[in-house]
Amino acid sequence: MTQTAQAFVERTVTTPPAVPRSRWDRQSRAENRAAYLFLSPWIIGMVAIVAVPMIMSLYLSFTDYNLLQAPEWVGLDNYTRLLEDPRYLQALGVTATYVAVSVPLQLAFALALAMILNRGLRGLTFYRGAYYLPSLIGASVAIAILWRNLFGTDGLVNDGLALFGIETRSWISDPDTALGTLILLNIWTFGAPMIIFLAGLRQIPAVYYEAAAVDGAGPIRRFVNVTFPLLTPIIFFNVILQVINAFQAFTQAFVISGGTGGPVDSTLIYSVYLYSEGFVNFRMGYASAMAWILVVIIAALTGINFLLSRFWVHYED
Amino acid sequence: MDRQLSRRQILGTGLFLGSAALLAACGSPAPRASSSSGKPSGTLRMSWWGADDRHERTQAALAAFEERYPGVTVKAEFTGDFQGYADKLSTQIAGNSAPDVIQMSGQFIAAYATRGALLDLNQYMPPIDVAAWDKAAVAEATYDDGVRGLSVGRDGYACFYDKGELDALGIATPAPDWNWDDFESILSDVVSAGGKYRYGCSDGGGRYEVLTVFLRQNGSDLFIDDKPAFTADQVADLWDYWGGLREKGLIVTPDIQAAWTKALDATPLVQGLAAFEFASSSTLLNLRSLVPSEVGINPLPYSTDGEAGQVVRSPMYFSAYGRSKNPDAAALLIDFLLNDPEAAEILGTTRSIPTSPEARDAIADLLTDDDKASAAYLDVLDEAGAVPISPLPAAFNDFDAALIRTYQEVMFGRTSSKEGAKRLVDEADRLFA
Repeated sequence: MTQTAQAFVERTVTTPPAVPRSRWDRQSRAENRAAYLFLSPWIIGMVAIVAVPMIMSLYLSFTDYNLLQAPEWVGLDNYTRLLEDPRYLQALGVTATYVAVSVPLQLAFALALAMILNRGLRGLTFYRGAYYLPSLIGASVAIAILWRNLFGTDGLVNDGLALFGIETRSWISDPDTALGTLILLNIWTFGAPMIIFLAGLRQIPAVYYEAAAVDGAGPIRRFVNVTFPLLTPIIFFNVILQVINAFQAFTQAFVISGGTGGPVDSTLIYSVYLYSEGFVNFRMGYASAMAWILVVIIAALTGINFLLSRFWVHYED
Repeated sequence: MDRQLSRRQILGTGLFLGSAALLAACGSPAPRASSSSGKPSGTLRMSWWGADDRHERTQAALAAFEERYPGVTVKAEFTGDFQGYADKLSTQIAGNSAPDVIQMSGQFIAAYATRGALLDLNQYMPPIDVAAWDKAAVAEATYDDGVRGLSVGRDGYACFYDKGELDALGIATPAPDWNWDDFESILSDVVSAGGKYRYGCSDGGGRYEVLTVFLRQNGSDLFIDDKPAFTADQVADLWDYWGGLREKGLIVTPDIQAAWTKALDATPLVQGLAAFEFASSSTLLNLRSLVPSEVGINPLPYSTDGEAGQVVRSPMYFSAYGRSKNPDAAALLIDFLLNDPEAAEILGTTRSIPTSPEARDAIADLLTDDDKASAAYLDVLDEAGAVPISPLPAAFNDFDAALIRTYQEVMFGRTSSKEGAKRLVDEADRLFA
């Protein structure tokens, strides 16, 4: 698991090119040209699909732009309005809850299952595939509609509860439970972190466990003192990835709430509000400002995570 | 000259030629595929929402149009549910790729018309011929000094109910001039009779149609001159009335109401949960196909002192997209669908009783019993002194969402009706400032 750390390091360190002597000048320039030529499909894609739209949206975030008429410069207006917008603050709160609850639960679930699957069960490949499947389809519209039906008034969940005589209700249209169904859906897509955990568990040398067993450590001791510390780089990696993912959740909340973020804005996840401001209410400048604040929030959280990682992530070397 | 340089030259020349061609393509005016004098030709796109009946009839009418004008092909884009259509249209307009002819709702025509997304149809008369039309009907969707859409049909707000079930339970059907007290006692009869419906009605407190009628009965209106015209007290009164019905178990619970998505098949009446429902009268045809027993139609309840406050309106308009490459053909199609007798016979009343006098005459002998019921209901509204709706302002969608949201807070008991109503008025003031 030092590989992950190394990858992080390698990305940031660039070796300065040796100063070319005039003899080699022409040849190295030719090589550079060839390199850029080969890179060009990627560079063109990066510029056209990522960089230009990003710069455009940064510009638009300082304008009043309704998509149909030319944008009008308004300076920081959009950003100051955001701070006074109760729905925006609500969206921030809902998203924070969503991330803070679903990511730890999802990772705990993924780790627990990875440890069970790591034991070499019969038919292991089948189980791995079966548990990975929700990750592939969890963000799709079809699953969101399935969820809507599961937790609706006539849904399967209510049918099950009715067997035990429990009063039924529509889970997705009750403001107390609607966000819970979304969190459950996110937890259910634990397959991707699970696979990464599995790979990490495989790399822990068996000698550590043997040594611990000889010293009389039980399963809990072995997890706390061997598995967990050696797995921290993987956990760290998964935390970063899943936090970013969770902040960008959209499809599930959009489909399940019918595009409104309702009831009572209880499922008004950040990107749902952003979408509805930009594409439904035609306030694209305002929506762009929201998008940029989201970028800053995610970047800041990732930075904080990296700082905190010094205190709990152990690299084995 | 070495090889690299010549290669670069080739590359440069290629890039120049390529970009020149691109720039040229952007710079030249879009070719007009047709002119008012010549034969119309080219391809048009048209979009609408509705039920299967409307899809079939509209596609048949488009085929008749293509037969009449062999140079023109029309691509149909239709959507079943209203909300999905609204989402799709807003994305298309945002992406400069909307269809040439658009079925517009009164709920969002202002939002597009005031942002320059729709053609001024005044510039296309002819081919559109409105000589026989009522002047007020032509001017109904006038925004920014232009006619941004022409009314397809006429309908009004209505209260629907399961007449078959009421008959079976021995409950008298409501009189046209019933009031809100009568409404409550009928709901109470339905619920206590213990028939197939657990509830009497859906929750009308968050419906702008109900609010509009209620406000008119109290000497005001939802919007006057594009500004909200109601007070927090008026809204709170309406919400308290519905709160009383909820406490007595006469209307659906908040979670059922919150699951309603504006789709007709998601209404409590169609789902078999409640006997009464509010909708526009043009949905009668669709409701009758969705509800197994006979569906009755009545005006919304009057105030207890006999004020009717009823609303007639155009449920939809045909508009032409402002960036249409073929506006003349689009206008020709709009005229065909609105006024042509052949089209009228194919379309029938799938978009309610036509506004165009020519179309109305053409189908006079073809009306089914359901159509006659719709037409008769318009007469009932006329007798009740119903007044056309004041045009919904551009920020109506925002307002409607705020109404539903604040009412949900009241429904779920998160805030009092007074506090919620105050918040709604504050938000409306901000939206229409």
